[in-house]
Formats: sequence, C-alpha cells, structure tokens
Amino acid sequence: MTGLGALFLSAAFVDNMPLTLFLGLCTFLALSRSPEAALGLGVAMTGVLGVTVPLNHLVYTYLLAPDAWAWAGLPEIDLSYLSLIAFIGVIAASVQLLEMLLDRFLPAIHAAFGVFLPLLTVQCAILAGSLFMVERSYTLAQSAVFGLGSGAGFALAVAMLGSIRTRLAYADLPAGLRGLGIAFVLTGLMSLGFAAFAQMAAAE
Amino acid sequence: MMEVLLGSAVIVVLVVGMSAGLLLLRRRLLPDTGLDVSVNDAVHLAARRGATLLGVLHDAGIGIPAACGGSGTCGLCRVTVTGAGAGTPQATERGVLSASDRRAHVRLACQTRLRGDCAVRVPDDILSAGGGVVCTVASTRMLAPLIREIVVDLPQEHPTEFRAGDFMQVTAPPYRLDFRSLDVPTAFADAWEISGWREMRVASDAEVTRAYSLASRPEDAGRAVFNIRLAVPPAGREDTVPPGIVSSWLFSLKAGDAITLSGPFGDFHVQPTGRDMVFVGGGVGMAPLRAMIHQELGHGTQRHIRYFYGARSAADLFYSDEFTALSTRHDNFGWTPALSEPAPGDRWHGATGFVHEVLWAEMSRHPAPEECEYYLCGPPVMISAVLATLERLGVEPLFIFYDDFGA
Ligand SMILES: Cc1cc2nc3c(=O)[nH]c(=O)nc-3n(C[C@H](O)[C@H](O)[C@H](O)COP(=O)(O)OP(=O)(O)OC[C@H]3O[C@@H](n4cnc5c(N)ncnc54)[C@H](O)[C@@H]3O)c2cc1C
Ligand code: FES
Repeated sequence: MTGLGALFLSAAFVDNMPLTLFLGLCTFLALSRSPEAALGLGVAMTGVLGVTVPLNHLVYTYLLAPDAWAWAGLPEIDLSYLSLIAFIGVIAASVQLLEMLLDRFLPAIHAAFGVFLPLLTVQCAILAGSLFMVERSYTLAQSAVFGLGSGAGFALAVAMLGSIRTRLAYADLPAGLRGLGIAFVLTGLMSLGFAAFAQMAAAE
Repeated sequence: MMEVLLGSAVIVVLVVGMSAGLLLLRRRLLPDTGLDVSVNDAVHLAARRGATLLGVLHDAGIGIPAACGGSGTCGLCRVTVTGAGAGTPQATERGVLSASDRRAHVRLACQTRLRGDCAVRVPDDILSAGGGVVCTVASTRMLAPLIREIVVDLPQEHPTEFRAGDFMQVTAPPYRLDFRSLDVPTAFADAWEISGWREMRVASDAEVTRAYSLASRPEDAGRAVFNIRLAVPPAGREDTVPPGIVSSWLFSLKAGDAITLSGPFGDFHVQPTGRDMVFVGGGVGMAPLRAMIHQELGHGTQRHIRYFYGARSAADLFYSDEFTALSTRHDNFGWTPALSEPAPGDRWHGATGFVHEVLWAEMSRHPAPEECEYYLCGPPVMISAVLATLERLGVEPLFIFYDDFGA
C-alpha cells in the first residue's frame, strides 16, 4: 500500500476522531439522532476538514513556520505561536465560504444543514486536524489526505451511531438511559471496537 | 520588535483579507437584490433576500395569524407558496406540516426565508380583512378568578360573519400595569390576595399580538365575545416573573376603551356530518365550544350534542346556568360540568373528578362512542388526558378535532 493510502486509512480508523481521540464529541452525540442528520454532518465534516487542513498547511508553511521568513533575511523569526488564532480564522472563513456555495448551488442541502454548518466553526475535531498536521509535519499532499481521511472516519462513526440509535427506537430502555445516556454507552462500546484497529496497526 | 510587528501584520492581513474576500464573494454569489412576492396574483410586494415571508406579509398589512410569534410551533401561519424563491421546507416545518401539506406546497410563512421571487396564496378573507380594525369595548366582567369576559362592539362596516370556532387577533399597544390598580370583584378578592396576584406588575414597550377564540352566540351579532384567561406566572414566582403581556392588558380594559382586532381566522370548525357530537372543554377552552354549541342549536340541528366541561371548584365554573337552560330547552343537548376539587362550601351534587374520568364513565355506557365526533379545547394536559381516554374508547383520530391554543 502506498504511503498516502495508508495515511488515509490510519486517519479514518486507527486515529478515528470521535472514537479513538474523543474529539468533536458534542456534535457527534447531538447530531446522531437520525441517520440523515448524521450523514449530513459526516459529509460536512469531510468537506471542511479536507479543505481546512491543506489550507492551514499553506498558511503555516509560508507565514508561521520557524523558517518561513528566511527568504526575507529574517531567519530568526518564529511566528508558530500564532498558529492557533490563524487556524481558527481560516476555519471560520472556509465554513462561511462553504455555506455560501451551498446556499447558492445546493439549496436543498443548505436547508438540511440549518444551523449545524456554522457550528462546525468551533468544532474541536476540525481544529485538531490542523494542529495534528503541524505536529506531525505533513506535506501538502499528506495534509489533504489526512484531512479527508479523518473526515471520512468521522462520517463513518457518526453514521454508524446514527443507525444504531434509530434501531434503539424499538428497544425498551430504562427511563434514565434514554437519549444521551445510551448514546454515551454506545460511543464507549464503539470506541472499544475501534481500539482493535490500533492493535492491528501496532502489530504490523 | 520585528517579530511583534510582523506577527501583528500577518494576523491582520490574514483576517482582513479573508473577510474582504468573503464579502466580495457573498456579493457575487448571493446578490442582495429586491424580490417580488405576488400574493393571490393580485398584490405584488417588494422584499429583500433573506427576509421571512411572514414579515413581508405583515409589513404589507396582510394579517396572517401568528400566535407563536414566528417560532414555528403554532402552525397558524400556513400559506401556499410556489416558485423557487421559497427554498425547501426547514427542519422546523417538518414537525408541523404533514406530508400531504408539503406536497401541496404549504409552508409556514414564519420559517420561509425568501431567496427569490415567489407566489403566495393566502385565504381571500385574510387579504380583505386587512390590518387591524379599531373597535370599542362594550363591557367586561370577571367570570372566574382568572377568567374575564370581554365584549367588543365591532364597527358596522366590518363583516361580522364568522364560523363558530374561529379566533381573532388582538394587538396590545405598549403599556404598563400595576395589578394593585385593577378592580377585582369581592367574590374573587381573597383568591387574588392569597395567590399574590395583586403584587404583579407588567410593562411592554412594543405592540404584541395574540390570538383569542370567539365565544359569541348568534344573539351577539355585531359583537365579539372573548373569554380571557390571565396568563399568570408559575406559582411562587409572582414577584420575579411578569404575567402574560396581552392577557394582562386585556384584563385592564374597561367599557369604552379602544381595542385593535383582526380576523376572524381559524380551521377548528364543526364538521357537516350527521354524527352525534361530544364537546370536552376546560378553562378558556370554553370559548370556541360555546360558540359552536350555540350556533348548532340555533340552526335547529337534530344531532345529539353533549358538553363535558372540567373546572376545579364551583368558583371556576362559568356560563353554567346558560348551559343548564339550554339543556332544558333542547332535548338533544346534555350539559355535564365536572369539578375536580369541589370546595366544601360548593354543595356540589354534579359529577366529581377530572373531566376525562367523567367522560370515560359516561361514554363507556354509550352504545357506540366510536361513532361520535369529538371537539376538544382546553389546557394541554387536559387535551392529552382526553385523547388517551378517547383512544381507550376506540375512537379513531379522524373523529377528534381539537384546538390546544398553539401549545
Ligand atoms: C388559536 C388560539 C386561540 C386562543 N384562544 C384563547 C382564548 O380564547 N382565551 C385565552 O385566554 N387565550 C387564548 N389563546 C392563548 C392566547 O393567544 C395567549 O397565548 C395567552 O393569552 C398568553 O398570552 P400573553 O401575551 O398574555 O402571555 P405571554 O406574554 O406570551 O406570556 C406567557 C406566559 O409566560 C410567562 N412568562 C413571561 N415572562 C417569563 C419569564 N421571563 N420566565 C418564565 N415565564 C415567563 C408569563 O407569566 C405567562 O404565563 C389562544 C391561542 C391560540 C393560538
Ligand atoms: S407563526 Fe409560524 S408557526 Fe406560529
């Protein structure tokens, strides 16, 4: 398997955002009540991560990284401590852009998302994608693949949880567990399942 | 120093650049052009992109009822919208509109954000009703500790035709009220003192509109009769939470005062069938049911009518003598008031218990409860208890009509 393919799979399964790293849990739990909303969230996550991680890679490499200004004769300048604020700005702008494009060209999908799209601006999994990119020093191509991969992993996990929760409509749960209670338990169980991928990766 | 300057410059340029880019793109992608909304193919309204359809209609004086104030819960602002400019139904609308409504392009005006030209169809009477009509209060009186009857003289030129079950919209102007200044009849003064309702104060600095059902009888032609329940705060919070804005204002009205009404509107009506009718009411749910019963009996209907009305004690029961008189005059009308907690001084000989229990006791002796039509109006808890009872009696939802006042 090529390096990029392996990176995609590992981002989607081994380092699954909600189930292995427990990132983005608030939207993960809130929007998994119906499979349609879950799928919509998954698609939005994939789109936003796939766009923002490579964009932030460019911002980081050419503006913020320790040797970004060497060409201007300023090799000692290191602006990497500004990456948090810059990344958040880029994410907010990308989400806005995505929202406008959807509103213009795919109004049905835009209506289905409603308020969820702007919510992604402050979603921790999305920021985490960009921070991991810096920490692991990905190249531009790797950043794009990593963004898409972790988005796809999120989409898969939330769609699975959404489907299980619809099935639970027929289950006779004790009153205290209904709703979020059982969703937490399910998330824990799914997370145990995903831990198996980490074992496979470690065994290789 | 260099680092600080460069860092600030990078962040400023990045943020300003992205904002400027987004603004430019927004102008290209979503131009803020004027839109055209055509109403019943007769009127054309200019609107801005992104405005709600309800706001556009209201600004033009087209009084679409909106009891929930545009939060998408009451379902009264239904209109038929065609044209791409209306977009697709929002998630909030799915809960209120049925699948067949949606196929017929019915939308909630308050949830429809305009994105292009569109054509709206509203009932003709709403278009002709125009904005509010200023009327005069003819009389007011207290019926129960928290319920007041308000009779309004309608202007001669205003069409007074209404179908029993309809409601009108009342618009309260900005006002402030101290409940100390309110006249409360001695019969209810104790209840008011004990509950702390005299300490309440309320102020409103904008016009507020709410729906109120008509309780008018055929003999009230030219007048609108309302039964208003004062929306008091939850018990124990009288000094922190203000009471309801419009109901408080209505409580402060006296004969001769001006009041702005629009309507009538409504889709809670007696069905034109031959089935026996069972009315179940509580609180101010009295209003539309009273209008329906009087209108049906006034038309000389042969259908059997029974009216179950639930109240707590005799003090909360009103119009009782009127219905007792109706039941002696009409063989096909039966009146069953039920008290859930009769006070010792009430000397109550009638039915005791919650109205759904009394309904169950009576209707389970009926030869075919599933063949009757049911009309319910009252507080949400009463409605859900009665619906559960009717299900136990085997009544199909098809035969149940109710108005929960937008709860
Ligand atoms: C079709 C229809 C028919 C209707 N017919 C009738 C009728 O015949 N008779 C009738 O009496 N009503 C009727 N209603 C209900 C009526 O329209 C109003 O909803 C009702 O009178 C309350 O309006 P309000 O402006 O007085 O109260 P609002 O100002 O809307 O307040 C509602 C409640 O909220 C409480 N509240 C206010 N502020 C706070 C706060 N900060 N925290 C917590 N609580 C707060 C108030 O104390 C009050 O109890 C009908 C409704 C519909 C939709
Ligand atoms: S005003 Fe639209 S649903 Fe109430």
